[in-house]
Amino acid sequence: MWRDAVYMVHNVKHMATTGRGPLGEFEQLVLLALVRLGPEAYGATIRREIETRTGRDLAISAVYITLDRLESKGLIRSRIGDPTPQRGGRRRKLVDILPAGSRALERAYREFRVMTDGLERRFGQR
Amino acid sequence: MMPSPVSPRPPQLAAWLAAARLRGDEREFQLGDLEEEFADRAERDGAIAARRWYWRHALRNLFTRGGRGWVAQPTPVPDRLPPGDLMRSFQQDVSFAFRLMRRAPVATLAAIITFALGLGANIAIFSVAWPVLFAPLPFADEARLTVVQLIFTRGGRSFPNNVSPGDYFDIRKATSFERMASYNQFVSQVNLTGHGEAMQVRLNSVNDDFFTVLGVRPIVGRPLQSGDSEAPSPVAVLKEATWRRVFGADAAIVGRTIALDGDGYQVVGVLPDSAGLGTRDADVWIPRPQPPGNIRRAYFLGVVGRLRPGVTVDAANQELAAIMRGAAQEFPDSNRDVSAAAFPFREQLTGPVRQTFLLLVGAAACVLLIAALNLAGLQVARSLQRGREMQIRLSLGASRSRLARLLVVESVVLALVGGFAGLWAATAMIASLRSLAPTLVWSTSSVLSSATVLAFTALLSVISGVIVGALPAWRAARQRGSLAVQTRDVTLSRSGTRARASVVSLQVGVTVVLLIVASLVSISLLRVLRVNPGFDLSHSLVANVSLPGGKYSSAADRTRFFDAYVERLAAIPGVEAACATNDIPLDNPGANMTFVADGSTALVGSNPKTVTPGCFATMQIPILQGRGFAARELEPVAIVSARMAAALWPPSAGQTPVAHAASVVGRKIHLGLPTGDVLTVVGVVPDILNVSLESRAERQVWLPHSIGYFPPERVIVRTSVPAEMVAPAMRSALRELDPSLALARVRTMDEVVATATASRRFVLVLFAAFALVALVLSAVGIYGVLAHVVGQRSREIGIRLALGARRGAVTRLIVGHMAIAIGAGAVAGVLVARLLSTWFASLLFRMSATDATVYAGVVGFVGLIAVVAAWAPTRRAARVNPVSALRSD
Repeated sequence: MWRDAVYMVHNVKHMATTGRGPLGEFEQLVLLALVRLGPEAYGATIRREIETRTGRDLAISAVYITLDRLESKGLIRSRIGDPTPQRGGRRRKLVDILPAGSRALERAYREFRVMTDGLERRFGQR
Repeated sequence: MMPSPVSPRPPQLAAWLAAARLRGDEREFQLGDLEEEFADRAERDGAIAARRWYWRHALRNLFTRGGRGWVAQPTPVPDRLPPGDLMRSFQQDVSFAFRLMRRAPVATLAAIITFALGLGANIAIFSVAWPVLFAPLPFADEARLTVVQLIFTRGGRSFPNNVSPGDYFDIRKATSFERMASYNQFVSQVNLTGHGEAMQVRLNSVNDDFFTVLGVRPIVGRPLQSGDSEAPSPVAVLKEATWRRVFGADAAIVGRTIALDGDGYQVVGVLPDSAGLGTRDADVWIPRPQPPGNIRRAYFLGVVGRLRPGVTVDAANQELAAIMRGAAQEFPDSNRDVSAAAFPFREQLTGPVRQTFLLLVGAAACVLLIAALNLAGLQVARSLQRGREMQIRLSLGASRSRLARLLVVESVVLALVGGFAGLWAATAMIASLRSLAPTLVWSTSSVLSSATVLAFTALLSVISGVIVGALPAWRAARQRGSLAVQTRDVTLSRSGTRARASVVSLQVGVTVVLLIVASLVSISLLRVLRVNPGFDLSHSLVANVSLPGGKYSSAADRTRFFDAYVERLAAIPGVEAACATNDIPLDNPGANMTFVADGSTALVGSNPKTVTPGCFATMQIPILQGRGFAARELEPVAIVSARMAAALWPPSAGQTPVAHAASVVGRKIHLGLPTGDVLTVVGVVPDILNVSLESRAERQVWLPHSIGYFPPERVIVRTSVPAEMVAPAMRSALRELDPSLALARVRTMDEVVATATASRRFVLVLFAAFALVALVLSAVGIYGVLAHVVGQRSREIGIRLALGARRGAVTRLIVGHMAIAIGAGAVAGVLVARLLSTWFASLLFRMSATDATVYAGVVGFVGLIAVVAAWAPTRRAARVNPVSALRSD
């Protein structure tokens, strides 16, 4: 019973994430970070951008999982960067947002704005 | 915070953990990101904060599912798999285990901490004990290397002893040995001059082929070899440390001549520091011809022998015994009841610490046992709680073996996480343990590689995880797969109760044993510290002063210097008394020298102590007979300790110690050999403990510093103010006298004593830590078992109360079992400790290993802790509300 439930949850997630369905909340954060960072976007900078702006403490692997998912959806593409001494001589995986990604993000933003229209007094404070 | 000059590196273990679940490029990218952020943070927040951050993220990486296959392609979990999918199903089990752990964070954390304590103790002791017990010695083919000693039988007791030249001559005939060589058991102190500051070095004389027998490989040049002792110009070999310190590791030293007490020796080679391991260690070795075979009864040789290939120690011992029987017939005077035996070199070297380490390993294993029992209890309790989930799985077609495997995998994963947490805690301990560990030179040179420790950690974690998981797994496999899961037993099964009670008994028993040993060891340390060493140097400061040879080459120069310096020291405000001497008691005194009573040929070994006249007053040693030293002795004189006096001139029957001491004053002794310089005994003083607080006092000969043997190089001041306060004044007094001299190693005498008792502290710290962990774990175990029992039986309690049982009677029913279990465990612990007492008696000092007070105290203490642990669940049992207990479920 319990395992079936787990399986169902997976399938729901599966459907939600493999198609060109709406962006997940964390996917939105990652895409927004990509827009902000421009050509210097990769795991560490994305993680830090989200962390410093939202105050969320993120695991680096969570960022990579999301990046993989966004790439398989065709919203971003990745390229391998040069190694740096600061990284112990390791290479980095730089990511760029693709037009489809920008469109998905714009759509999410539009929906968000429409839905929050008139509610600014409720959420806008603090 | 200031950025550190060297950029810190991320913790290796954490990086390894972070990488554990990553593959290929992914690993490179993510580790790179972590390291990059680590570097930023190290610069901004400091290395410690950065390291903490890194650890947190590494562990998160380990616990967050790695990505591949989980989110993107969920796979239904089939309960029966085709054989090829075993690995994948194993991975699923692991992921599942991680998910379960995250669902019950408190229980998971408790399990991880318990594993970490149990495994950490074992990892720590393993890292320290392994090199000491098993690391190879720095000698070639050590299995054939033996130490040969004489075996004296006196008054029904046998004991090993040094070898006399005459006996050595006989022993050498044994054909079991490929080669044999001797060394001098008495190391002399000589001045090494001509290279900067003069310094005192320990000199030992050995046979030409001594190092060939040991199989020591030289660092530069060659070891001593046959013919060296007859070479026209004397030769010497240096120890590596001396070579580095005095000659700056100059490889051109070979062929150069050094001066030892003014005599020239040509250096032929440099040997590693481990060359003197297990024999009398020295800084410089010189070759000595075969000692004359006619000297018996002067036992000053140590002998090493290399067995012929294929010859056993037993066979060699039979041959040695036969040879010594022949010698006993030929020389009945000296050789009656004297035999000889060879001992494996390693046994001789590690024998004293071997047992200690084995005891510590045993104690650590006990801690792990208690931890494992707690964990098994915890897992069983959790599996009961999850019984319904298990039943559903079984009903849905899961195989029992798969369920059982899931539980084992879960506990192995917990054990591994706990093991690495324990390793992390242990690494901090290991460094300090090594510094505390009994000084075994070669063990520090062969540091246990971290890979070995990692492998040990992983192995031990997996084994204990499997053992801990096996019990609930076994239960799960036995569970009936009916859907009648709602029915719940009202009482606990008899076998379940008995199993829990025996777990508590076992834990209490093991804890009692550990606490008894820890208490006895700590009392022993206190007793050692209370030993009266025969001198009183509380409130004292000691320091080293080395005089360079050029400026202070003659004995008169040195005497004048120390007279002046001691006078200045005594004038420092707060200093009550001051003196200079060649070595400080309990501070690795090195000098050994033989003396001979005038008219005798028997060499008597002794510890020569050179002192300025004020030393007896400074060290508060009374003069028993005769007088102390005068400021300037005109004739060569000496003062002997009571034991030395008795060894030189055995007291006649019925002579009182006082009369004997009085008879000694005025007699003459020779320095070194019967032909040596003559000294007149002018006084007798009590023996003092010089080498160790725990051994018998050695024989001592006190010499005035003005006659020039064994020149002083230490000063002692006794103070009326806190001792550390006078150190600056001691330095400035020295500067005023001679600005080129430096005061070195200024320590309080308390620090010297602390160093001398370090190995005892080492054992105590470990045992106390293990016993404490055992106590805490047992208390948690008692609490857990009782809480579980009360929880399970609350319905039963409710029914009993509803039927009119009195609360006291019900509580007694619940707690009674446990009390009996705890009592039985304590009794068993006492019995086991008694059985083992002969084994740990070697750790104790002048106290019985079966001290009834200690045993009773420990049992009382454990009982008290048990009461505290049982308190809360017992109260809960007494407060069960019958109505709510019956309504629940």
